[in-house]
Amino acid sequence: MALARLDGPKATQLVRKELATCQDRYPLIEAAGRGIEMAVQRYQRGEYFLADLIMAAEIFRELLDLVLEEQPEPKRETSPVIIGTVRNDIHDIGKNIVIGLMRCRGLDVRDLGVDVWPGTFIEAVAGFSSSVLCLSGLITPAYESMKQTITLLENQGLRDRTTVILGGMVDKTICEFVGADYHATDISTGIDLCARISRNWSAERAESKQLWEVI
Amino acid sequence: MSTVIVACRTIADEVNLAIRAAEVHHPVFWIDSKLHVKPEELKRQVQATIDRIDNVSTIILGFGLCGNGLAGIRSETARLVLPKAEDCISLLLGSQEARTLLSRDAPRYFFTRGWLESENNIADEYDYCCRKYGLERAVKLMQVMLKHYRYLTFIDTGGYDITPYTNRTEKLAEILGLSHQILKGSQRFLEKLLTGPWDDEFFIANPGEVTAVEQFSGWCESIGNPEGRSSLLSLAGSPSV
Repeated sequence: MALARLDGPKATQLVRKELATCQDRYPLIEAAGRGIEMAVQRYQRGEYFLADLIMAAEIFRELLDLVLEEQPEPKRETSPVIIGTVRNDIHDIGKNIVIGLMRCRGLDVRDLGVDVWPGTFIEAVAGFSSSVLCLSGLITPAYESMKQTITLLENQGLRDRTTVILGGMVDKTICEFVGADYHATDISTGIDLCARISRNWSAERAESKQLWEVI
Repeated sequence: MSTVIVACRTIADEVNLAIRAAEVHHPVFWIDSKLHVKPEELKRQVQATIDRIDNVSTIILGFGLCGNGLAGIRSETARLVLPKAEDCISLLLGSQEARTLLSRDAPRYFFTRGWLESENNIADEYDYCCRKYGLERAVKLMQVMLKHYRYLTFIDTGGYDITPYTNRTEKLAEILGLSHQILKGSQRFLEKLLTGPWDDEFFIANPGEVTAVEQFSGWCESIGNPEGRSSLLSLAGSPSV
C-alpha cells in the first residue's frame, strides 16, 4: 500500500483515480485507515523512525482531506468521544493518528489538545454528554494527571456513566493505578472498543469489560 | 554488607562521575540504552539482571520510573534502593523538584552526550530525515514532531567537554526555530543515591517486596481542580487531526 510505503504522490494518484470512478467513497477512507495502521505497526516493530510515522500521518491527513472534500464525513450517531493529552504532557503524534482513524470509523471526536487540565476534560464530558473519555500520555507525570482527572470525574458524579480508556505509554498496572476502565496499546483494538461503547454504551459496557485482557 | 549498582548505560558518564566523587567502589551492571521507549523490555532486563545478582545486601537502581519500566520488580535476597524520580533527567538535574520546576516553566527536549550517542534522539531523526526526504521536508517533519516544544536543552553535567555536542544541538535548534539552552546539571541526587541518606527522596523495597508505581509518585504535584480552561464552543466544529 502506497501510504504504508510512505509514497505520498502515489497514494494521492491512486485516490484521485478511484474518486473519478467510484460512487461510494467510504472504502477509500477505510483503505487509508488500513494504510496508516500498517505504518504504525512498522514503527512499533522498529522498521520506521518516528519521522516516518509523522510522514505517514501527513499523507493520511492529505488523503482524508481529498476524499472528504468530495463527500461529507459519515453521519455521526454516536456519543462524542472526548480525547486529549493529559496535563503535564505534550505528546500527541499517536493521539492525532487515533483521531484520524476514529473519524474514518464515523465517530464524533472532540479533541481537547495537549496539556489538558482535569477540569477541562470534565467540562467536555458533561457539556457533550459523552460516555467515552480517552486520556493520552507518554511520560511519567501523565500518570498522576490521569489519576487526578478520573478522581475529579468521580467527584463530579460522572464516573458511572463514563468509560475511561488510556492510550500512550500505559499498561495494566497504570490502568489500575489511575482507576481507568481500559488501556489500549493496540491502535485498532482500542478504536474498536471505543466505537462499540460510543455507539451503544449502556448496553455494551458490562459486556465489553471482558475485553480487558485483549487490549 | 555489599552493594551493587544497576543503572542505565545512557547515564554512564554521570554515574561514573558520581562514583568517583562519592568514593564508593560498588560494581556496576549496565542496562542497555534505548529501552525507555519499551518499558516492558526495560523491566524484563532490569529484573533479569537483578536475578543474576546474589550475595549482596543492597542493589542501588540508577533509574526513575521510566514509563513504568521500574515498577513491578523485586529481589528475593537484597533490598532495592530507588530514587523517587520521573526518569534519568531528574537524576541529572540534581532533584525531582528541579525537573518539575523546569517542566512547569516550558516544554524542553533534553540532551546529554549519553542521549546523543546511545539513545534514539531527534538529532539522529533529523539526520535520517535529511537523507531520506531532503532538507525542506525534513525540517517540516521535525517541526511537526517538536511543535509543542520551546527549548532544546543540553545538560552540562561536568564530566566531559560538551562543545562537540552542543555544536550539534545548537545547529539543530537554529534549523528548527527552537531556543537552545545549556543548563548546568547537578550530581547531588546521583551522589546521594550512592551514599545515602535514603530519606524521602528515595524508597526502599525490602527483599521479596515488589516496587509499585505509587512509590515513585510521592513527588507529584497535585493539579487538583483547576480553573476551567476549556473552550467548548471551539470544540463544536470538526476535530483537529
